[in-house]
Amino acid sequence: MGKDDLLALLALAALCLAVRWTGFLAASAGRIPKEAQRFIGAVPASLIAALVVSSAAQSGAGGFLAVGAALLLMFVLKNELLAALGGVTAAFLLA
Amino acid sequence: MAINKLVPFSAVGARWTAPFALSSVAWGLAFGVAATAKMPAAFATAMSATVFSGTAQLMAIELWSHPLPLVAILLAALSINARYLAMGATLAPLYAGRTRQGLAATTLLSDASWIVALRAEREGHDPHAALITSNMLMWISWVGGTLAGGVAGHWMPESLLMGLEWLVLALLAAVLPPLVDRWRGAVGPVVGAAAAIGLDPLFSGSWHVLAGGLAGGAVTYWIGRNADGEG
Repeated sequence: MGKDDLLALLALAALCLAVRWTGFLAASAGRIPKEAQRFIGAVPASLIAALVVSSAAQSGAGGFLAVGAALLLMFVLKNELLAALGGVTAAFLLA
Repeated sequence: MAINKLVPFSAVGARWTAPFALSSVAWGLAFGVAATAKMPAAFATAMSATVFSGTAQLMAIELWSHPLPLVAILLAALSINARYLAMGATLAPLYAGRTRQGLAATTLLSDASWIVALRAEREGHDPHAALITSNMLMWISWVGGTLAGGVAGHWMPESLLMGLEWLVLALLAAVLPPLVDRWRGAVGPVVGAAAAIGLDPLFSGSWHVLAGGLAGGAVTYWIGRNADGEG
């Protein structure tokens, strides 16, 4: 890993700390409008879906199989870790 | 000054955190194994120790390639972790007039420790001690799990390395259903995924993912507002 990786890690860590602190400080000062909070809450699921589908498209049939099986298993098992492991196993067996 | 004054301990906080911590070890193991496809175990462990955010880290390693799409990684992490803004809002009244203590307590805030702190407050226990105890347990379990997974991942045979990439995707996919509120909540993520695929040829790097995520988020927000209007 190079210097740029290290700098990126530091930036990522600083950002996550800043979000934790800013949330506390801004919220205690009552500076987060309700509608903004609502939009913030709406983005993560779509962002994850966009990343998953986009990455699966690049990794081929195995990636789509792992994603599809994990999603299906999640509805049955209700446990993220088990569903993910099951999804990867299914991809290995079927791809 | 006694140690328990510097680092307060809460027995109920530890007890309530234990199931979450066990799950965090398992998640840390999976993250550590998955990360070995992109980075050494020491780097993945350093990431867990400093970033301390499972889903944001999974997003980051999925996007981690050279040249590094740093802005995309940071925006994705910001979006994923923005829920801490709302969590901070609920904890702020517990620290009225004790801002420094509140900042220290929210440094390692996690979903689990937030729940534990609120429960402690509701049931008459010291929420600060419960939050600090829970934070520490969650951090140790997440970092320890990552280190163990990272070391184990480097001993994996070459033929299983493709599975690591699939594992990241499967973990992210499995996180999705709990975030989606019935069929109405699924519309935004579907739009986001479709937009990301559609925009892929138009953008370099990972911008199509961010654009898709924002488009889907806007749809979810719009549907939610309309539903409230009807209600």
